[in-house]
Amino acid sequence: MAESATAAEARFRGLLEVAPDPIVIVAEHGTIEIVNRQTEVAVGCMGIPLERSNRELEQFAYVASHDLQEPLRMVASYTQLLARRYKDKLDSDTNAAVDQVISDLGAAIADSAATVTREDLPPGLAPVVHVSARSTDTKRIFSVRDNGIGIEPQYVERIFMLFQRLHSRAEYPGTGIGLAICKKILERHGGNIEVHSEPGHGTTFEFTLPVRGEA
Amino acid sequence: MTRPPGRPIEILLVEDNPGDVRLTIEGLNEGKVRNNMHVAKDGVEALAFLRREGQYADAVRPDLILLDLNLPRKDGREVLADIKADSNLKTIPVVVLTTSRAEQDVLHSYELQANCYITKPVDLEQFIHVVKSIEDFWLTVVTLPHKS
Repeated sequence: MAESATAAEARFRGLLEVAPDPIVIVAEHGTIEIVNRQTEVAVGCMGIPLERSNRELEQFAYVASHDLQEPLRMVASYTQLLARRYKDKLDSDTNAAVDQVISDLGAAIADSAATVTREDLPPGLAPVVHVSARSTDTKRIFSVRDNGIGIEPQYVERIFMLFQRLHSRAEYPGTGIGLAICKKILERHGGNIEVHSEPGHGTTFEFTLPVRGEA
Repeated sequence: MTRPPGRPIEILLVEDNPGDVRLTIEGLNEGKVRNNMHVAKDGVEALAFLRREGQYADAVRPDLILLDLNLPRKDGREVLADIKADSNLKTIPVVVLTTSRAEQDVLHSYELQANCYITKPVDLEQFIHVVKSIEDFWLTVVTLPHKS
């Protein structure tokens, strides 16, 4: 029986009371909606920049919906492709076929892992990460330096944006979330983060946090 | 159709997901039109290909561009804007082919003069049907300008 609009809303409010913020709701057709309860609270008391908060949530919903759909679409499509191409060719001894696949994949996994390790870590070029810190009267400055692939100057702003990536996942795995989160954490604590890099010669991230007043 | 008979169609697919590249090839291979597909895996590569820069000095001019929106380095919206602002490239039809069904993406793509916008279906049969439809419509039904 259909629920009345008021009853549905009351139930929904009930959910809002108990759920953590923000609430992510997977709606029909795989789209994602987010209810930002923090926003409602903010309206009531603090007047936190709502527009920014909502914009960030919209962006999150957009990318979450995109990135959750992508792997599902791939699994579904390739399963169908296998069925389409080989369903008449599979013989009755499926166990043997499955064993063969597992052993093929096992070799491929072992091979690729070995290759990746050797290609990424040539002798004398193992990853080196160096962390240092210094202080002024008002702030602490932390520095994290690596000897990785570096970042080209035109992309230094993009790397701090949510879900922005500079390489395909086949080249370097990642989600595009890490640096965006770092930046947000630092900004919410009154600090900031910046990057210095030269392609091929590593990257230094420098982040600053204010020294809390003693008073 | 202005294309000389026998010459294969050149298609530039701008797509960072190798899984989708493969599926698109499957779809095109089931179609009737002989084609050469070229793949750029991000927006920077796509524009270098189109402008014949660096390793793409000998690249052919594509008859059709299939463009994903969410790409590393330079995303599809920027690529589309650059293509349509370039007097040498703007006559090449650009089909936006993306997972996104967000209204903002649809609207923004048409504002940037995308020639059409297609959301990738989740189902394989439908995906292949869509790719074949793109090929059929853009490469056999419509008349395109002569290559410059």
